[in-house]
Amino acid sequence: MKRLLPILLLSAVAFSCDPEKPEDPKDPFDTFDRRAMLQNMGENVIMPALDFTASSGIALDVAAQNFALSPSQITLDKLQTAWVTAAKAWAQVEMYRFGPMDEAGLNTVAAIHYGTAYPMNYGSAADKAGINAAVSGSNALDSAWISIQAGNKRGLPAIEYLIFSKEERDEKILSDFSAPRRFSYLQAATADLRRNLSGIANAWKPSGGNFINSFVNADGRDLGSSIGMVMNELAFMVEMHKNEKVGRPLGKRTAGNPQPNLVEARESMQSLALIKENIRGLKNLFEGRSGTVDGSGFDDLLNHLGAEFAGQPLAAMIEQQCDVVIEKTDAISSFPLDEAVTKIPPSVEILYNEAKKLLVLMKVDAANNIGVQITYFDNDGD
Amino acid sequence: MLTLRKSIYTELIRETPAHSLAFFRILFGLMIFGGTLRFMLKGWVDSLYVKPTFYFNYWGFEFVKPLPEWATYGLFILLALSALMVALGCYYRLSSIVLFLSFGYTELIDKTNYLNHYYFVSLMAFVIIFLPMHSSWSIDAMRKPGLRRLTVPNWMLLAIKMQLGIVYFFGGIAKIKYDWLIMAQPLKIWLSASTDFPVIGFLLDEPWAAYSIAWIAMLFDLTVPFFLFSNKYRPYAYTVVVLFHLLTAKLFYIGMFPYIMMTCTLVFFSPAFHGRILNGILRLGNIFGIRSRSGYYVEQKRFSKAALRIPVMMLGASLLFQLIMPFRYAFYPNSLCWSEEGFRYSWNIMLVEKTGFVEFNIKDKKTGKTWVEVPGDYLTPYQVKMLSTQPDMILQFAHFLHDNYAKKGQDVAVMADCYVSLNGRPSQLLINLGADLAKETEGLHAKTWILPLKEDRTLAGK
Repeated sequence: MKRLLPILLLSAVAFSCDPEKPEDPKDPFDTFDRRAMLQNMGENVIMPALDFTASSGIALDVAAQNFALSPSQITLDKLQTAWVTAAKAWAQVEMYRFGPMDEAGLNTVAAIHYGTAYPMNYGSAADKAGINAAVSGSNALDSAWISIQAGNKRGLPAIEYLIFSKEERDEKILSDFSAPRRFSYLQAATADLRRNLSGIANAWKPSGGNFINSFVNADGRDLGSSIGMVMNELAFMVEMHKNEKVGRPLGKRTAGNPQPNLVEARESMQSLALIKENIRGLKNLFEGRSGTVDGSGFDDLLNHLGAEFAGQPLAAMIEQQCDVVIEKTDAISSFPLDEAVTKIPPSVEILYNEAKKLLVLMKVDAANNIGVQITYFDNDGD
Repeated sequence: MLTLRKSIYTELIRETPAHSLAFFRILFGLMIFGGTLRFMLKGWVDSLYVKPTFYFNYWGFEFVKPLPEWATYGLFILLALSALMVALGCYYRLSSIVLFLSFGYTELIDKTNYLNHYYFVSLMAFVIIFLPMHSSWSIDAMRKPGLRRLTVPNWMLLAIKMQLGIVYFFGGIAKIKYDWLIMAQPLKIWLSASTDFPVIGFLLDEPWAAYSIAWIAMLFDLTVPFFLFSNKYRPYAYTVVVLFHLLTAKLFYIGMFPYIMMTCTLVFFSPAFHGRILNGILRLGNIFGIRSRSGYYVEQKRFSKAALRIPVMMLGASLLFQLIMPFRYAFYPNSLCWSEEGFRYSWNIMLVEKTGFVEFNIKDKKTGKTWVEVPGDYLTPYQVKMLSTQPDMILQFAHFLHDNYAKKGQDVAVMADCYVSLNGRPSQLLINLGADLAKETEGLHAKTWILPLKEDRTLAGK
């Protein structure tokens, strides 16, 4: 016993020195249930959002078939509306770059969207010359052929190019569709998109790839944990929004010279609408919200950890800043983004700066309080 | 006073069995060998020394350049081989110098990769160059009977123990900070997410758990070297050492460090203990048919004064250097963990959870146009992460950007737009947004372009 004294003494000193106990000793039943949070985020936010992209993909494919059956201004309008719905749905889930949309799934993502690499080059959207060459060529434009084409010849940008034109009028689109092979291309592309969107949605389902199971089980804070992955992607989404979707067209990356043609979805003039959906999707995931039901999310985790910013709960600050970014996007809407960067650059600059504030809150404050390693490398620490 | 001085002197020059040095040499060599292999097998040579196109060199060591891919791998193979040679005691003088230089070179290429335990390994590799670690249980001693020693002066062993003790003791002093002791940060952040830890996991989310661990860790670091020196308490102290390091190994991503410390501290045990283990290895050797060498004749010899002059001078200088380095932060007005002026080489282990964001505002001085440079366009994600919280790296990168434009004939100002959150504090600007970093220089002077930490609550004004 006597020989154990130093150890006992050491612990005793340590415990007696235990300084100012926090004001409210924590209720042991109140400890944060991270699995429940991940389950809510997975089952009530991510999976329904992916299901919606899958069904909007079906609707787009059906609209393309109807348009091919009876090409008219009416069916074209419906087709365009269906594309906008699908593109907005995708913008909400774009940040789920983990699990089925990570690594092996990146080719699928590239086929739906365009850029997958960092930095994303939104300006290289559709390979217009390549699409036109394929249309005037002679090989069969079927699903086997399209499924091996590069991302800029299929997916949302290619379909956008086929059915929208910012400069020309819809009459031009309709007259272009006098070539039967243009319909074949369009239908191959919408069928391919439909397949890819369903593929990702199914990969999460218990009946499919059951990624939801891995997602809920990886409830730690380490690299590869779901909290770590989601935190990384939330920050990455804002970074892409600020740097690539807003900053690059504004000239922030090109010595201050605006690059209007580098906006996303220029032909359909949906650039601003899509970046708004990006932030809405991000906010939903952060809050664990589906519709009006605010379930367990990162906001609750941060509140549980007592994270504050300038005397306010950090989670509330982040939610508020999401709203500010959406508001400043709306403030631009008298011009499409590609025109705004040259006609009203100060308004775009304001959006850029508000997005930067959101980025700092997400990437720095939220990450620091949750203690996840925002890193992409498993090196030793200290 | 005189008797104390005398007894210290007697303790220093007292002869102690030489095989304790050999014991440490073998363990240390094998650990560096294993650690280097692990590093290569994990693909880190590629991701840390081949992939990057820009490297953050150390002030004063700008001459250390990254090597081409083949030479980088060559350097790591050289390092591994020299560590193995040290373990075997084969051409020890040469191999220990090669070990120190090759390890040092890899560390000096990019400060992105600075870790306290790499610094510890560098120091220890330096210390053992000057000690006759190969005087027994070595291929050299087999080859050259003249090298063989039965005993060595005790200070040689003490030099190694001191090097270990410094890590703990100064690590303990570094923990006497407001954040660590009073806020239990960053432990609170880390522990709250480790509730799936075996057996004690459910306790880790309790507020008192972080406080207890913070205070125990501080007291442990401050006292454990002394307990390890005591014959009476050593077994208990070592048990605590093992438990403590196993806990940290499980909780944090600190790789080899806990295992290195657990192994190295075995040197505190008695020469008899070291002898038993070495003889155990020998018996193992006999099983495999390796002839026993324990019977050879060894003449009882002492080192001449002249032979000891350089070792004593070098080890004294190393000790003095290490006693000063951890306190240099006192010369800077900024908070240590915030501005990191004087942060490295000071045993600030696991004291900060820092998250940052940085990009660079560029202004063309002629046209007045402004734009942004994003470091991710030039650096690996890991480098970006390190850059985003460390002012000296930010300064260096700003100069790199400035020089790039200068080459194109553009005269630009480079401002860092950098937000950092330290130990759960709200993010705040780290660098003065108006400061043109292209005009600032690296050096020992206080950096006025680093903004002070708001809400600074560090003990004793630090």
